[in-house]
Amino acid sequence: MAVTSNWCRCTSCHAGYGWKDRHFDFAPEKIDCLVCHDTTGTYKKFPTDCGYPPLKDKLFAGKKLFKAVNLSYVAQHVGRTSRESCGKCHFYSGGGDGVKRGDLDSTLRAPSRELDVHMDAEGLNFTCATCHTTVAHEIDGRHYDTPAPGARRFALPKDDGHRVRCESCHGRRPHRAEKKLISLKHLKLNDHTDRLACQTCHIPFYGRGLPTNIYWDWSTAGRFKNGKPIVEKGPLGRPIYHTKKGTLKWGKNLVPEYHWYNGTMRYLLAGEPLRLNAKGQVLLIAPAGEPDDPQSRIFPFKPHYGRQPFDPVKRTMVIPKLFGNKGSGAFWTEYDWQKAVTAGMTEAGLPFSGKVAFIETVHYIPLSHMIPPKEKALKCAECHVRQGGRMEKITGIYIPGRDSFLWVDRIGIFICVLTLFLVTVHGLFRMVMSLKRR
Amino acid sequence: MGGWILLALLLMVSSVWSGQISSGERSYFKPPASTADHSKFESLKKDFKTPEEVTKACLSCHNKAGEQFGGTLHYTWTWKGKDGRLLGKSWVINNF
Ligand code: HEC
Ligand code: HEC
Ligand code: HEC
Ligand code: HEC
Ligand code: HEC
Ligand code: HEC
Ligand code: HEC
Ligand code: HEC
Repeated sequence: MAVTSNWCRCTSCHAGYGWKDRHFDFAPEKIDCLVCHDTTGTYKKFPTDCGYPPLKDKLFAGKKLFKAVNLSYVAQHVGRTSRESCGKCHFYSGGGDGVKRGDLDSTLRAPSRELDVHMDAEGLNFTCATCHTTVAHEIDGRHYDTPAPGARRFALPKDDGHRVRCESCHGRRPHRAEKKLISLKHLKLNDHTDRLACQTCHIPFYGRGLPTNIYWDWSTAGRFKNGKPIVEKGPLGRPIYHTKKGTLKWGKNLVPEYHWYNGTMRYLLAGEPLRLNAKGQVLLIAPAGEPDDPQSRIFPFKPHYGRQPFDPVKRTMVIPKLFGNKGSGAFWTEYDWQKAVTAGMTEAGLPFSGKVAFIETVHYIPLSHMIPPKEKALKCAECHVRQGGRMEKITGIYIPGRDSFLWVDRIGIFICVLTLFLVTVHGLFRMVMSLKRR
Repeated sequence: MGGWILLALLLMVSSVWSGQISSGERSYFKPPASTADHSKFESLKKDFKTPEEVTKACLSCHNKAGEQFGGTLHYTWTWKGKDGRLLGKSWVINNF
């Protein structure tokens, strides 16, 4: 969905105050310093107040109490950011705890080592900003078509402190044996890092904290039972039907999907011609990257599937107005997609044919958090197998064990034997020579 | 099978090790302790009525923070794409 026309609901996760329409004044005093720098844990924004905190005790959706924030107390207790402060927005993106990302949810406030080796509260206890280094308030991380800053090697002072990449702290060849001087397995692991991202082996599953949403069908939203809204909970304790949202599916401990990724995503905007994948689903947000690009790596993603409104005549995605008062056309008050899309597209200033239909969409979410201890990393055989391996659908690369081009393998063996032979001869030769010199 | 074990042996020869994290570097990641106790500052010992007043108080000392933060993605929700399209949370769409 989109922020335009849904301002006060969606801007409740803006680090500012009062973004209630497209004419928001981005003045310095409208910045919310406290949301990131509160250290008391008492500062919260009200979910529908355009970014303002509750200044009186207030009920959200008639049920949940938001206590008035004591501004003076919070202002006197500011400090560095924490997992709690970044998490106020990032744990709840997508409309609830863990809904969107599958690698960021409230269990990261004080995670165990099993859940996240870096943020482990009893261990390394990293904050978000330990990795997402911040200079002059530029928080490192991917921004749209611009990859996270920093090279794929140790971060040095000349890198301005950028160290959000795994390699910034670990280097490109992080694996080594604890006892042995040389270990084949570890050398081999290191040889993968030019084609596989660290995350690929080190995030074997996602949704390990809380259940995460994997499918969202908006087309069924708006059903009532005896005039009352329906919320039907599923086995994971999350709604599988919700009158405002539609039909939802959830998952835990899921296997990621793998794609070539150069650190940037491609976006389809409302009003642009549709881009479809082989299954006829619209690619809303999809990874960019190619096997022959040296910057690209095989990377793990959470795919999020949806069914949402589009314009079947103009064949573009549309912006429905969800949040608003009676009479504004908002879906969550009037439950009429036709009206909601007309209102949304008018506010966005985009052409709309007047017809609404539903289409399947995909949105890929790159995974970088919830790294379990090293013992849980993927084993060789989970990729190097004939069928059903993690790399089954990856194209553009030869993977021994998965692909068996008989001749390539045979030539490989031949070259191996030959080289081993030559290396041995060469080594012996050098030994003899050095003995002679002595 | 035997093929790639041998291949592994071979490629081992070409592998060179580079730096690794030494345990001494761990303290490097610890956030430094603060030199300031904000509860002692007079300008914060007020009964703030609106959050904007708080921000103004912060900016009276941290006089570059507004300008710096004001230009970031976290504030603008706008990212000028390399192809000229406007991206950022206030322009793109998702399926949540
Ligand atoms: C609880 C806080 C929160 C609320 C409320 C919220 N968002 Fe977001 N949103 C985020 C965060 C955090 C991101 C950054 C990317 C991420 O981690 O998902 C984001 C990113 C986005 C993006 C960028 C694309 C993407 O998904 O990465 C869009 C579009 C978006 N939100 C739309 C909305 C809309 C529409 C609403 C209101 C219906 C809304 N958001 C409400 C927290 C929130
Ligand atoms: C989106 C979150 C966010 C918001 C909003 C934010 N900051 Fe920060 N700020 C950070 C991060 C991250 C750091 C890096 C240090 C850390 O780990 O906290 C930082 C560092 C600082 C520092 C110390 C280092 C430096 O750069 O001088 C000050 C002072 C500061 N912020 C003040 C402010 C003020 C004043 C505001 C409001 C105008 C503000 N911040 C708003 C995230 C934020
Ligand atoms: C161990 C280091 C580490 C820690 C700790 C960490 N992150 Fe990240 N984060 C990463 C890496 C690596 C990436 C991927 C780099 C990139 O492409 O931006 C990333 C990416 C992200 C992204 C962007 C993902 C995208 O859609 O491209 C967000 C948002 C994010 N982290 C938020 C957080 C929050 C919030 C926390 C604290 C709860 C946190 N991170 C803690 C390493 C870390
Ligand atoms: C007030 C809510 C809020 C807080 C607090 C917050 N963020 Fe964000 N963050 C967002 C939203 C919303 C976006 C998406 C902005 C956009 O796409 O235009 C975002 C984007 C990001 C991104 C870039 C993701 C991308 O897709 O480009 C990173 C990295 C990130 N935040 C890290 C952090 C860290 C680290 C902290 C804590 C210091 C933090 N955020 C605190 C709301 C927040
Ligand atoms: C092909 C899969 C794979 C890839 C790619 C990979 N790792 Fe590993 N990693 C492993 C396995 C398996 C282990 C456990 C090794 C062991 O048993 O000692 C491990 C262990 C580690 C350890 C613990 C090291 C130690 O000796 O204690 C770190 C740190 C690490 N990896 C970081 C990384 C980083 C950083 C990257 C990216 C540059 C990366 N890994 C890429 C599979 C992988
Ligand atoms: C800010 C620096 C930093 C970043 C960025 C970082 N790490 Fe680490 N990582 C560490 C430190 C420090 C340790 C602990 C090393 C130790 O105990 O010797 C560690 C430990 C690990 C371990 C070993 C856990 C075990 O079982 O012993 C793995 C695996 C690992 N990191 C993977 C990653 C991956 C994958 C990424 C990228 C998503 C990453 N790291 C990003 C600093 C970092
Ligand atoms: C996440 C999947 C994955 C895991 C786990 C994995 N590999 Fe690989 N491996 C690949 C891919 C993809 C390639 C091809 C890319 C390349 O050439 O680096 C490859 C290539 C290889 C190659 C031949 C090419 C080369 O560059 O060395 C060998 C040998 C190999 N792997 C051995 C291993 C061993 C031994 C392990 C376990 C310690 C392992 N792999 C674990 C995915 C994986
Ligand atoms: C009377 C001046 C003053 C006011 C008002 C003030 N600060 Fe500070 N602040 C400081 C000083 C001095 C430091 C220490 C700078 C240093 O150590 O480099 C500091 C440090 C910080 C830091 C860095 C982390 C830390 O604890 O050292 C943050 C974050 C911060 N202030 C945020 C804020 C916020 C948010 C406000 C508004 C509520 C605020 N400050 C109001 C003077 C002030």
